[in-house]
Amino acid sequence: MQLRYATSLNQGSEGHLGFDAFHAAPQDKLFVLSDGANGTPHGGEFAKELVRELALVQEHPWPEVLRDDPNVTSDSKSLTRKHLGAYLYHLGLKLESHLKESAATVSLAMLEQNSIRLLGVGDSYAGVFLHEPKTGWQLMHWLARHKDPHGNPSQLIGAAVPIEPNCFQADLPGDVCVVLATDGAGDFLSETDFTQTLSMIGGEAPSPDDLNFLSQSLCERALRNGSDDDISLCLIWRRS
Amino acid sequence: MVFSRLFRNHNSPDPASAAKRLRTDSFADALGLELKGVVSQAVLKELESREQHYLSSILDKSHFLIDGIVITPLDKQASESLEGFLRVHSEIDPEFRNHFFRSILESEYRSARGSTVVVADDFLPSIQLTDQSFEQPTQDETFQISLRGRRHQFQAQVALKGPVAKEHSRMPSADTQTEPANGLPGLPGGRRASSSEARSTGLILSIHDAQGQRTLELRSPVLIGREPPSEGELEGLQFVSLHGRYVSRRHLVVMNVLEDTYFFLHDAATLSCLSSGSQLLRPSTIYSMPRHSEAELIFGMTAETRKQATEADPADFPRVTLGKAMGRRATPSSATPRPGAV
Repeated sequence: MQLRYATSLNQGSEGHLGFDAFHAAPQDKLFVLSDGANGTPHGGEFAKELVRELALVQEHPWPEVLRDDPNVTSDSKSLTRKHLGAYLYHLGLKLESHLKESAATVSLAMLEQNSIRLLGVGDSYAGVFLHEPKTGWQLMHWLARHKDPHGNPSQLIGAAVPIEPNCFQADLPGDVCVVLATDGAGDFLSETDFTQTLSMIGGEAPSPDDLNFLSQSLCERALRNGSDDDISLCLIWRRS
Repeated sequence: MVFSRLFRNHNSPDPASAAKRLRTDSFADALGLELKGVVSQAVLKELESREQHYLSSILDKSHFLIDGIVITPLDKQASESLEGFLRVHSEIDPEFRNHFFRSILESEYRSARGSTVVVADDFLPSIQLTDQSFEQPTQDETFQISLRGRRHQFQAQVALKGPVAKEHSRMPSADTQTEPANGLPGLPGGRRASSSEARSTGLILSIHDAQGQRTLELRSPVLIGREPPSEGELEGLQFVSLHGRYVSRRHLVVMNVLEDTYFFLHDAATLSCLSSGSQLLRPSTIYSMPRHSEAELIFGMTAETRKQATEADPADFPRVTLGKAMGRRATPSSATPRPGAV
């Protein structure tokens, strides 16, 4: 398996106070992006601590839940999601105990040899694009997002609300590209923006520099499309 | 008679000054040609070392930017002639150095693989003198050079940045959204403000220091510090006195520009400041406050003490929350809120 990634963090806001944070644990094929709620007093710091906590996989049982057999029954899946939600809720409480009244989103991806697992809480983005030799890069799935009727996140890690993470898992051999993005990026980019950008990779194996260029280009496009939020985006390319 | 003499003088300068100008032109041409050669070689060398990291499909849709050039004269004579040439012309035109170095750069360089380089708008040339720049060739060396031919007088090093997508690098001329403000590092692009946004704006400062908590509504710009300066020193700034152990006499400047709020450490600030994003403010850097939001700053925090930021005593490390007052309070509802229990 080949795995490469690049991230552009808190773009479009040079001099802004970055509220987004990213942590990668490539040895565990685990990538976490978080967007601290900028209406909270320690949103940025909360996001930083959250991604660090979630990337320390050895210390927590939850990755085992994510690695669960994809053929489990729907009841078991529901139970799994419930356990995961409870874990994230308590992790939020732990961080909130010293970062008062603060909260953050999380978008998480685990990439195995032939499968992809995504998890999301809040209004950040996580999606999978698939490369087919005949059709090029196509969107396979965007994870659902937690948004209330006013467009604000209805769930955040650290908030005093029950957490029910959105999860996705699929067996996907071949070339895939996982996108993790904060709303400052994802709200201002279309599916075409992503497929056009990924078309530059084609069926070749991109270097980390290539991915860095592509993630930077997408951030610049989001900025040009009018984003005035922190813009963060991570591209993870995997060939099985 | 007078007219014809003036006419003759105007059209036929005296031979001595004409010869002098011819020598100067000839020197400038020779210098320009030599520099063009070494710069071209340096650009292509750097380009070829960089382009190998990228797919050709990316190189087709992007280009690199020349960020800076360092010219090093390789002997004393070259150093003296280049410095003298630039000094004399800079006395007439202070921007001559930039103009001259821009003139020796091509509008585009292209490698054999097809990747391209253009000159960045904020490109910076410089001349670097090394030990070699002060050496004089010995008679033997001069003799050998005369036998073997031309000797390189200069060496060039080029700093490239990018690649950047061609569509994005053209963007600033079409749309000022990402164009950096002149002379203000760290400022985001100048957005066009609507007339309603452009109206004068105020600041709300929520302060928690040794004297407890208070909220002030002030007109921009504001200087925050320990001791109020004299009237003459204020120069239109409003001063806010902060009571705390780790506060510099002049610590932070906050100002509104159109609808945006910016803040930066005062030049005289010897103590640090930590943002709510856990970012240590750097000197000579301008920070902008997230729109429709607030920014909390902890004065006196350093990289070593930042871990205890949340428990810090305001009598030691005062806290100031910046907010905007545009006829209305900052709109926390448009910042991302923390969902509450239902």
